[in-house]
Amino acid sequence: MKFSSLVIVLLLLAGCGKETPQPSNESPSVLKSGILVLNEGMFQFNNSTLVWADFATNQITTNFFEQKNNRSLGDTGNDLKRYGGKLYIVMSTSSTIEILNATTGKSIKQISMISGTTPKQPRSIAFYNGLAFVTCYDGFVDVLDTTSLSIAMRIPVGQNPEDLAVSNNKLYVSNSGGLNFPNVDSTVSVINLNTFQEIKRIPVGPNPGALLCDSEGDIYVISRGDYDVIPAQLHRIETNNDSKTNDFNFPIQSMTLFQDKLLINQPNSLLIKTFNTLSESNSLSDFFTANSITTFYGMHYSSILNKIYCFDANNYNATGFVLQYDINGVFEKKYHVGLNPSKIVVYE
Amino acid sequence: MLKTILFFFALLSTSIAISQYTEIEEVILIGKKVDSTRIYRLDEKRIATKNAADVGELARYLPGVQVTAYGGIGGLKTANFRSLGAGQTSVVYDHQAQSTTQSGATDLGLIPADFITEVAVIQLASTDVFLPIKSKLSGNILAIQSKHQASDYIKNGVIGLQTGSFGLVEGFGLVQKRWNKLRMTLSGKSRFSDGSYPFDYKNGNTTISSIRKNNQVIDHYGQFSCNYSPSSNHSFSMGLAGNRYNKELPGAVIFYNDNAQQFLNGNQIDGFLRYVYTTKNIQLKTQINHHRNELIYLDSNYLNVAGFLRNEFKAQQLDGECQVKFMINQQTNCLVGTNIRTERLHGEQLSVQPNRIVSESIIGLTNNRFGVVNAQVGWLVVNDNFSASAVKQHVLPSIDWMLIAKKIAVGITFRQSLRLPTFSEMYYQQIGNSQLLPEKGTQFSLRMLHNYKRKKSIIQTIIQPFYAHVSNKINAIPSKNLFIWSIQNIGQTRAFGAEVSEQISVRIKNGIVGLSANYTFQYCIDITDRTSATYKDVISYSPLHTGGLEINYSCKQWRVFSQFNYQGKRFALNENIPANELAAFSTIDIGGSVKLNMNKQLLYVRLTVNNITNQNYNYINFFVMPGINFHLKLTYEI
Repeated sequence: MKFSSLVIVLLLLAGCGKETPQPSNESPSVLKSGILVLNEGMFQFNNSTLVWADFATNQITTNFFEQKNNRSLGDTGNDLKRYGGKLYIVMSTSSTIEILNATTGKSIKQISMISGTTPKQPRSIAFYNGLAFVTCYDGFVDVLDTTSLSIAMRIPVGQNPEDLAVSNNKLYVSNSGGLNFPNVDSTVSVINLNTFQEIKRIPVGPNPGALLCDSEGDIYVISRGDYDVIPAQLHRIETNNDSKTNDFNFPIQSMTLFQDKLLINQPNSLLIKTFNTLSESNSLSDFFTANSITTFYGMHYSSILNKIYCFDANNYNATGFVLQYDINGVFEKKYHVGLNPSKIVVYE
Repeated sequence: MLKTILFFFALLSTSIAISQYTEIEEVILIGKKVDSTRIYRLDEKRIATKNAADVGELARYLPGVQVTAYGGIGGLKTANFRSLGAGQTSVVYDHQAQSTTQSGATDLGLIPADFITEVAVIQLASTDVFLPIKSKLSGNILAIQSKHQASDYIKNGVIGLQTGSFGLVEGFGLVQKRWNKLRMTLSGKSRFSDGSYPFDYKNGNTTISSIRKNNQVIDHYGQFSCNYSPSSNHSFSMGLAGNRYNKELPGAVIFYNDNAQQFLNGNQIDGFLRYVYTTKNIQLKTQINHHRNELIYLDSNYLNVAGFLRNEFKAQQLDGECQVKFMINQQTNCLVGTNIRTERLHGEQLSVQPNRIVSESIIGLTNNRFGVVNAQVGWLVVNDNFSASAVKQHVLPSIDWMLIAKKIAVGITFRQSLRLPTFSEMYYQQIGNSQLLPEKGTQFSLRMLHNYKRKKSIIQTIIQPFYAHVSNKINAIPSKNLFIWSIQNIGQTRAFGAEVSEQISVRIKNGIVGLSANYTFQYCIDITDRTSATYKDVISYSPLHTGGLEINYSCKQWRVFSQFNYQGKRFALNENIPANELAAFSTIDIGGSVKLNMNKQLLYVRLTVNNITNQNYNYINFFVMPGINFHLKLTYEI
C-alpha cells in the first residue's frame, strides 16, 4: 500500500471515529439537541437505564438517570414520554412513575404505584388536557393530575391493560389479559374523557398490545395472538362509532406512526414496510431494511427531527443500539445504549 | 447475653470431666494411602466447626464448588463445580442419587447439616458399587453421608437445640439402636425462622436500608433407616426420608417495590431397598429407589383474573440398579452395572404430562499396578415419550490415572458427562422445548498432592489445574420479545483454572492448631457465538478468584475457630461491562465450642457469629444476604 493510500485510510478511519458517539461520564446540565433513550433492562435486575446521546458533543451518557439523581431507575422501564416541561417514566416491575424535569433530567417526584399491598405494575402513559392516563396491569387506568402530580382516580377496564391512546375525546385502551394466558383478553376499552367511565369494549383479537392513533383519528391496534398458532394481526377502529372496521391480514410485529403512514416491522424480518393510513388498503410497501440489527425491538419516528429510529435489543441480554435513519430510510448513525432499548424522546 | 454464655462455658469446663482433642486433622493423603476418588472432603470434625444450617452452606467450603444462594435460611442453594453448571453435579445422599426430574438441580438448602458426617466432591469412582450409576455418569458428584450410613457411629442417640438470629428455633434428634445383626436409626428435625433481616444496599450513590421480609421458613425433616446383616456376606438395608416445608419467597430486592408475597410449599419422600453381597472377590449391590415430591408455588399478588397464581407440580421417579464388582487379580477390580429409571412429572403448567425411561449401564475398572487407574465407560439410553427423537443413546468414557510416591501423588483425569434436559425445560408451557439435546461436559484435570508429615505436624498441599468444556448448554433466552422466553441448546462455555488447597495441623503442647486454606482460580468464558457481544466474556456468576481460610485451635475440650471467605468480582450477566459487575466480598465467621464427656455421654455446646464485620453481600445480584448473625447450638449425645 502506498503511503498516500495509507494516509487516506487513516483519515477515513479518523473521520468514522469522529462520527461514532463516544461514552461519557458526564451529563449536560441542560438537555438540548439529543435523544433520551429508555432501556427496559431485565426483569428483577433493577437495571433499567436512561441514556442521553448528545448531538453537539457526540457523546453518550449511559447512566444518565443515576448521574442526575444519585439512585437507579429501577426495574423494567416500560414507557417514556414528555408532556409539557416534564418527563414521565413508567417503571413496570418497580411499580413507580418517575417524573423528571424535562430540561435538567432531575427528579421532581417518584409516584409509588402500589394499591394496598399489590403492585399495580404500570405499563404505558398517554396525556390529554392536563391529565396523564396510565395503564396498570391490575385492570385499571390511573388518572394522574400533571399539576398536583397525584393520582386523581382509577378507571376499571379489562384484563392487564397494556397500551393506550386518545382520540375524539375518548381514551382507547388495549386489554391484553396476558397474565391469564392462554385465556387472554381480546378487547379495547373505550373511556369517555368527559365522564371518565368505560363506555364500551370493542372485540379485536386475542392479546391486544401496541395501540396508536393516526393522523385522521383512527385507532390501530395489534393483537399479538398466542405467539404460536394464532398470529399477530393489525386491526383498525373507527372512533366515530367505536367499532372495528378492518382486520388486516399481513404479518406484523411492531408499528409506529410515520406522517400519514404506519411503519411496520414483520416477524423475523429487518425489512421496514409502510402502510398507508389514508387509503387503508390491505397492502404494504417496502421502505428500507434495517441492516446490522441483531434483534429488532421497535422503532420511533420523530416529527421534530424528521428521523426514524430503530431499536436493536442485541439478543436481549447484552446492551443494545439505536440506529438512526433519515426519512428516506438511509442509515445515518448508530448509538450504543443500554439493555433492551425501547422508547425514545427527542430534543431539538 | 455474651457474658451469660461465657459464664456458662466456664462453668461447664470446670465441673465436668474432660475430653481431649488429640487427633491430628484428617487428611486425604497419608503415607501411601490415597483416597483417589474423593478429591475434596469435609469430615465430621470440620463440619462441626461450621455454622451451617444445611448442606448448601457446608458445600461452599469445598474448593472449586460455587454455591449459588438466594438468601439466608430457607433460600434455594445449588452447587456448581468448576462452572460446569448446577445440573452437572449429582447430589448423592446416603448412596441415593437425589432426583432432578423437575428442576435439574438439587436444592441443598433442604438437607439439614445436623446429622452429616461427610461432604465430599467425587470426580471418578468407577468401581464403587455404592455410588449410583446415574451419578457416575454426571459431571461430578457431591457425596453426602449422614449418621444413618456411617458404620463407625457408635452413639445411641443425639438430641439438640439451636437458636439464633432471624427468630430461628430448631430442634433435632437421632436415635440409633444396634443389635448383633441389626441396626436401626431414626432422626428428625423441625425448624422455624421468621427470616426477616435488615440489609443495606447501594442504589447508585444512595444507600438503601431496609428489612428483607417475606422470608419465613417452617420445615420438618425425618429419616429412618434399617440395616440387617445376617452374616458377613449379606447385608439388607432400607431407608425412608421425607420433608415438608412452607417457605416464603422473598425474591430479589426490587427497587421501590418490596411487596412480594410468594410462597413455596412442598413435600418430598425418598425410599430405598438395598441388598449387598460381599465376598473376598465379589461385591454385589442391588437397589431400588423411589422418589416422590410435590411442589406448590403461590403468588398471592399475581394480576390475573383469579387474583393469585398457583402452580402445582408432582414428580415421581422409580429406579432399580444392580452393580457387581469383582476382583480380576490382586491389582485389578472390574465393575459392571446397569439401571433402569422411570421419571414422571405432572403439572397444569406443562404442555404435556411427560414421562421417560432412562437406562444407564457402566463398565468400570481399577488397576493398581502402575499407580491407580480408574476408568469407566457409560452407556445411556433415553426413551422420552413426547420428544421427537424418542430414543437417544450416548456413550461416555472417563479415565483417571494417579501415580503415588511416599509423599507425593500425581494424577490426571479425563471425564465426559451428560445432563439430560429437565421436564420443565422441555415441556413448560410456552417456553419449553421438546427438541432439546442433553448438555455435554468434558473435563481434563491434573492433580498433585503433597504430604509432609512430622512428629507434631502434617502439611498437605493439593493443586488441581483443570479444563472444562460444556456444549449444547441449555439456556433460557427471550425469543419473540423480552417476555416470551424459550429454552434452547445455544450455549458453549470453556473454563480453565486451578484449585489450590493447603491443610496444616500442628500439635502445640496440649493443643492442636489447624489451618486450612483454599484458593480457586477459574476463567470460564462464553464461546457460543463469535458475533455475539458476549463472545469470550466471562460467564455470569463465575468469579475469577474465590478462596477461604480456616484457622482453628483445639485444646482439651475447647475449640475456637475462625473462617474467612472471599469471592471475587463477577458479572450478573454474560456481558462484561461495569453495569453488570458485582463487587467482590469477604466474610469472617468466628465461633467456639466445648465438648464435655460425662460418663460416655457427650454434651456439645457451640456458639458461632457469622459475618462479624457485618458486610453487605450477595451471591446473586439483589438477593441480599444477612449481616452479622449468631447461632447457639446444644447437642447431647448418649
